Amino acid sequence: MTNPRSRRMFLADFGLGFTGLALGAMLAQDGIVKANEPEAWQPPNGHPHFAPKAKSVVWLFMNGGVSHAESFDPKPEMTKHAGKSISETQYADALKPERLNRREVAFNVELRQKLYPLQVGFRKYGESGIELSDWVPHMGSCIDDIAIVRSMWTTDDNHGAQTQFHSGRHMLDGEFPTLGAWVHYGLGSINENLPQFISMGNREYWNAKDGHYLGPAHDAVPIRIDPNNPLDYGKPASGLGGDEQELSFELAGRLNRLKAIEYPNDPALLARIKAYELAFRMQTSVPEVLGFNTETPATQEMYGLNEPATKDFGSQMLATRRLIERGVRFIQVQHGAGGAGAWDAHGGLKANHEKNFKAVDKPVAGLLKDLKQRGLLDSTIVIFATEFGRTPASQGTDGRDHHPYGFSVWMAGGGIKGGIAHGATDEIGFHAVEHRHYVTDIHATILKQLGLDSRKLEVPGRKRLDIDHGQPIDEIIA
Amino acid sequence: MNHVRRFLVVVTLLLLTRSLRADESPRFVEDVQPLLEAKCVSCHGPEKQEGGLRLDSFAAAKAGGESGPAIVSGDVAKSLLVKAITFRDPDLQMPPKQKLTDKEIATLTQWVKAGAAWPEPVAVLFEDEPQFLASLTSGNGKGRLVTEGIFAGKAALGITPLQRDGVKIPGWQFVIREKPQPGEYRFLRLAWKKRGAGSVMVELASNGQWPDAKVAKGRYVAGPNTTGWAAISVSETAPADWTVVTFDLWKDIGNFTLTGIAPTCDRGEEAFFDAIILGPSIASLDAYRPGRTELLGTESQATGDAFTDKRNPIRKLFRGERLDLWSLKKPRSSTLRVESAATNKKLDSESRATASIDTFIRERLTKAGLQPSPEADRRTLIRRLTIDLTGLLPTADDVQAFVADKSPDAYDKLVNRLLESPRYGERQARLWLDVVRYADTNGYERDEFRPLAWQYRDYVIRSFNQDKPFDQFIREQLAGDELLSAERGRESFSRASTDQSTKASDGHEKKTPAPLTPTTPAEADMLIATGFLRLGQWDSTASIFQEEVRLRAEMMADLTNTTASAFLGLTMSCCQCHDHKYDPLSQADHYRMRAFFAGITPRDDLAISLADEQAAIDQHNAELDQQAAPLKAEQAKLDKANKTRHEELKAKVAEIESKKRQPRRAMGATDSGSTAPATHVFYQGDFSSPRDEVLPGFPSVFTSGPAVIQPPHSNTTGRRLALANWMASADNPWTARVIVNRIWQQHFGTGLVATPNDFGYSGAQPTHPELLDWLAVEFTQRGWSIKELHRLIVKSATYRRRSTGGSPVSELQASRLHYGTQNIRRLDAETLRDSLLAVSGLLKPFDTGKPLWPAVPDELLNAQPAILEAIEGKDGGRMQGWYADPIEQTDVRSVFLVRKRCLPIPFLQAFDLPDTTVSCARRDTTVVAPQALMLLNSPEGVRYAQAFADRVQGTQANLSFDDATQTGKLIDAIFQQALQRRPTTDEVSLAIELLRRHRDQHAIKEAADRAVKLALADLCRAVLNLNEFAYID
Repeated sequence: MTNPRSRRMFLADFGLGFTGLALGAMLAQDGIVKANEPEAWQPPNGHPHFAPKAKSVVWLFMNGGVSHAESFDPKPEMTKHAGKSISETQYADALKPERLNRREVAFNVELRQKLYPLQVGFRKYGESGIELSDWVPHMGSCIDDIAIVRSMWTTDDNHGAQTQFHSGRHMLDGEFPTLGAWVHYGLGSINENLPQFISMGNREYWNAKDGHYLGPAHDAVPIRIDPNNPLDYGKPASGLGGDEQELSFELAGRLNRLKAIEYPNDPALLARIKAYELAFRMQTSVPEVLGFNTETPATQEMYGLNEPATKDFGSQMLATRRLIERGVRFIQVQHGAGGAGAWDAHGGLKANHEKNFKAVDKPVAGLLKDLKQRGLLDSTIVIFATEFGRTPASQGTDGRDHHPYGFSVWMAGGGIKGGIAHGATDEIGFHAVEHRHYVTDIHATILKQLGLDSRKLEVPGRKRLDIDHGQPIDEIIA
Repeated sequence: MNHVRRFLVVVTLLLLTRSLRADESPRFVEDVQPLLEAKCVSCHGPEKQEGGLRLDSFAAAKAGGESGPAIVSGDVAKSLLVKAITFRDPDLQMPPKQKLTDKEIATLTQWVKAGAAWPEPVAVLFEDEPQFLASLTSGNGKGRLVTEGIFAGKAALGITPLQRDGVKIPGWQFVIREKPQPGEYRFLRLAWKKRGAGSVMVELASNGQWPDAKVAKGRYVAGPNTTGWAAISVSETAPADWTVVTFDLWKDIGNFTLTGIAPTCDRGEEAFFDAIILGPSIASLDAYRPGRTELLGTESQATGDAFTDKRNPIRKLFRGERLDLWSLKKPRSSTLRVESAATNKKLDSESRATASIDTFIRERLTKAGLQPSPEADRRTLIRRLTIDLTGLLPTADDVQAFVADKSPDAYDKLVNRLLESPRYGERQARLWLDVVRYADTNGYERDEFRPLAWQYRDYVIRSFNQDKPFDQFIREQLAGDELLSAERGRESFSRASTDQSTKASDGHEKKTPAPLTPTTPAEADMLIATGFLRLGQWDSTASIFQEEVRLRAEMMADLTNTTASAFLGLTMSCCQCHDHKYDPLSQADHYRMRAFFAGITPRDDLAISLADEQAAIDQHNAELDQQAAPLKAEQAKLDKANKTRHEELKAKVAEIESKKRQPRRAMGATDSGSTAPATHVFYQGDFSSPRDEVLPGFPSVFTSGPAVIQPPHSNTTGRRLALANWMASADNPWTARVIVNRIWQQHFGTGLVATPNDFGYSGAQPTHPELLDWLAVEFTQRGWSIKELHRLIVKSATYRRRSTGGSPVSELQASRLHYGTQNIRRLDAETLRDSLLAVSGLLKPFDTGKPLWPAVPDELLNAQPAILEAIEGKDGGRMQGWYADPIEQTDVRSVFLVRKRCLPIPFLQAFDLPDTTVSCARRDTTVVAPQALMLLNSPEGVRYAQAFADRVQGTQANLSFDDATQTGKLIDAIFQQALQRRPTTDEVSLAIELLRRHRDQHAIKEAADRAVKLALADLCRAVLNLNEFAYID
């Protein structure tokens, strides 16, 4: 649909030696740099602060709260004492009020007491022999590339914890940039045809943005797995054809060039020309990413594209790999729409988790294997996370409630060790007791692998706390 | 036990509440004094003495006024007060507007009859004051304020053995006499309690000396005395519960001057003391109600400012550091230097003023070795000025007229015209609404519509258009209701002042005094202005979870933080949980500021119909009542069997009732009465951990004491007015600088202080401190006029400079940083949309009223839980939905579009619409690809381009683009309308090329004339996407 001649012309018009968004120059011009300061603050220059181990991040987030004991941290004691109140068991200590510090957000003030048996079996996987539930056989087959962190904790006991996992701050503290926004802010472009920070899947409204005080320029650009309509406003509302559209872009570009003679090197104007250039290229590059017909049937099968249960998430995982191949920096995929997140199994946990794991297990494993066989896993960190775990005790007859005191996430690739389980919860999966990690430790680990020092990214007037920076989990770094 | 036992009165009080029984005579403090204060003192008190009479002390009441003594003890007939309130004498009827109730008349009459006991005031030595504890500076024991299990008020004194004492307490010179004269005393009363074994003791210092250890004079003990100090024993056992004891000091000690006190106990655990008072008589002590915290402020031990007074808490807290913050010093105008620079030219004062700006700027430029750019051309000037002042593009005609106007005052005339345009207020209001985080919905999970919020928006527009002095603007927003009370005088309570139960849309229900009814539009605006207090988010689900306390705490924090940011450039949010990390503000300062808002009740029922309008409504409704009366009467008499007639009547009555008119209402706030709930410092900011109580006060760095507050009316605390008056003062170091900086930023893209909401250490330093101060001083001296300030700035040569020039880029940036070259600025979201509407001819005139709702895509609505709930029909009247208006009605200026917190209008959001949860000082300007897609591809972008093309084409038919002259004219019109200039020949040839190629492309699928139309729209679309359109140069 594109006329090669005019496209070349168009690009030639734009490509006058301007690279990067010149953000630093723009901020300086905007006066954020303080006068009378010998060492004026400088915005990031797009380079890592030290030698990186990884280039890209795949951030998989299960909305609603995955039961840790029924996935990555099996707890047979829960089954053994099923039906008993926690306070009747030798684990009564877990309920001491001083151990139950959390910040409540309206719901769930009731403390769940009656232990609920595991709803699924578990077994050892891989050479490492790490125990995982029977719901994750495919991820289990990758366990020797995975580092599980079994000792996560957070403070929000409601789904604001989604925000908290992304930004490191409790929802009531206000709105803070997410990890993806920090990475986007810290590292410049590695692809000229696609946005560097892309999100897929459903985001709850309280967790819908990323940039916050870093600005909307650092929000993820959402795309959909729909080759005909992958991008908001990716096509003119008038139904203009591709050629006409290109002509309009071309004219705007040429007119802008004419006028730009009066403003040689004006960073703001050049940045806008650059943005139009990217917008133009996105109109074709984004649909191209979603053109799965160039993928072999074997690859498609690996992601579960042939099965209805796995097709949706599988397509997102395959798109993720294609984005990684094209050098996109940060890809954020949220799984589970509806309510506060599909994984929120207050009732009917077994059916809920069976269905959700069925939808994600094979595609995620497919992504890991595919990245590995293409040699991309070494430079790509994949993280599988959720906002909190679920209570060892039952809610109603067959559900589990929100549980911020201990839960699991895992990471793979990008210089992360494989086949290890780091940290631990107590025998009933209540409290994280060994190597406890707050959510920002995950951030710190990822930033370290990307060669970034979060303290050097701080913005004037926005003091971050120590807990915002977190500590890298060195035990899982190879 | 050979101690002398001489105790006078020991009273154990378990409960202090009481109600007046029919056979009891009224008590002064409980029954009489409140009545006098509410109904009489406003005209017969410290402020006004109608008829020469005061009723705020017994002596004054006894002396009476022009007509004679108001009160004669025991003699009802001779007491004019009684005569007046009974309305027996047509010439003497008080209060004149509304007779007291029968019960109130009986109370006053019985009180006079019973002797008109009017106790002299007591001296409160300790109720709740933390300063009291600080004055007990020696002794081995420990003292603390306890707030639980206290006797009365807010706190009690806890003393652990042995004692804390102060032999000379500042301000203590209490003369003890047998027959006390006014200001002298005789009796001491206190409540005490002892935990554990041992005794409790109190020791009194006479003339700066403790009593002799061997003489039982000036010491009182309850319980076994093991101290070795002789003391008068009150009882053999220590009081296990609160016990009130009264001592006759004259009888026990003699004539002396009380200068200090030592609360003491011996073994065992803590002893507690509370409500320590001195009185001239037992009756005066009885009349005092322990725990009356109103008395707190009077004995405060305020320190001076931190710069001069070592005792200032800020000085202690930060060890004398952090006091060199530039914004703490009052702005000073360095006029001398400016005058000398400007005197060699013969200039009028106006021109001299603008020349002053240029002098300040040139000085820094010269230092940096930079030359200023020349003045921009006229087209650029009018475009820049029109956008900056009105938020719209000039029309092609405006530009031509200005370019052609060769008169020397052409620019001045232009400035005047734009400042007088109603569009000016709309633009200024938009920027102010950013600062106060205005939105039309509650936010949070339900995000309900606030149907009355728009009146505040229109009030802001009006205020800017009227050029309301900014100090007045501040007062109205913070305390318009109190201002109205103050301005109208205390007595003009024109409508019934009966309490009414109100329910605000945010679910807050409370008994509140009726506010005043406005008589002029300006007075109505004062009430509407209090909408400012309601603009924050409001979590309506809090009541479901019994979280009202949390909600209230959040509202208070939000109001405090926003007020501090918006008006003062102070980051009060930083000291909510701890002392400020950078600036000389303590955690208490946050809560002292909060306390100014403590009395607030949200209201959705402020009647803003003017008095005559209200009268017309009342009359209209009364007439309807009359119409309905016979029907109702018939209904009442009707046989129950006659159902048909019954229904018929019911329907008729309902129809009549439905015609009733309601007064116009505003969303705002008033205080819930003359007192406010206590404000406590929250430990680590957590509302569930209240600590010390604080009183309203300004930042302690200036004065640590409580603010002086004079309630303008008995229906309100006067706290907010006190805060507003402090802020709206030329002496306030922040207020004028902050607003002047905001206006400067509007014209240059960046402020003299780059962080307009933070004038602290972590904010930016002013780049031109003298200029900032000079502008601030000039602004207040010119009557806080915003229009004058604009005039001053836009007339300067600095504002009028070219935005081009300078190469390499570093030089351009240096020049812009020093204002040697103007900044280029992207149009903000609203200006961009408004300009697109104006250029395309779609812009509808609209200047007041309810917000309009443009349509948004269903997929966005379906992604919002709040809206989804409404769409599914479960919102139960909570107005959570999205109520789209027909598209042609929504082509109004963006300031009139609805601002829903959970769903910003996508087209505007793409261009950096700010968040509405916190004050926005400065719009972000991002440059990202999705903006390009939005402007090129969105339904709005396409529609504007099409309308623009239609407008340009007008009635011309048979266009083909083959005729170069005709096509050139079209292109000329497009450039003139959108860019206010003629196209260059290069541009014309490019445009013709595009038109023809697009026409041919479209012609493959479309008819010839349709293809031409589409091609013209494509050109328009391209032009509306140009940098030149989107930027102010």
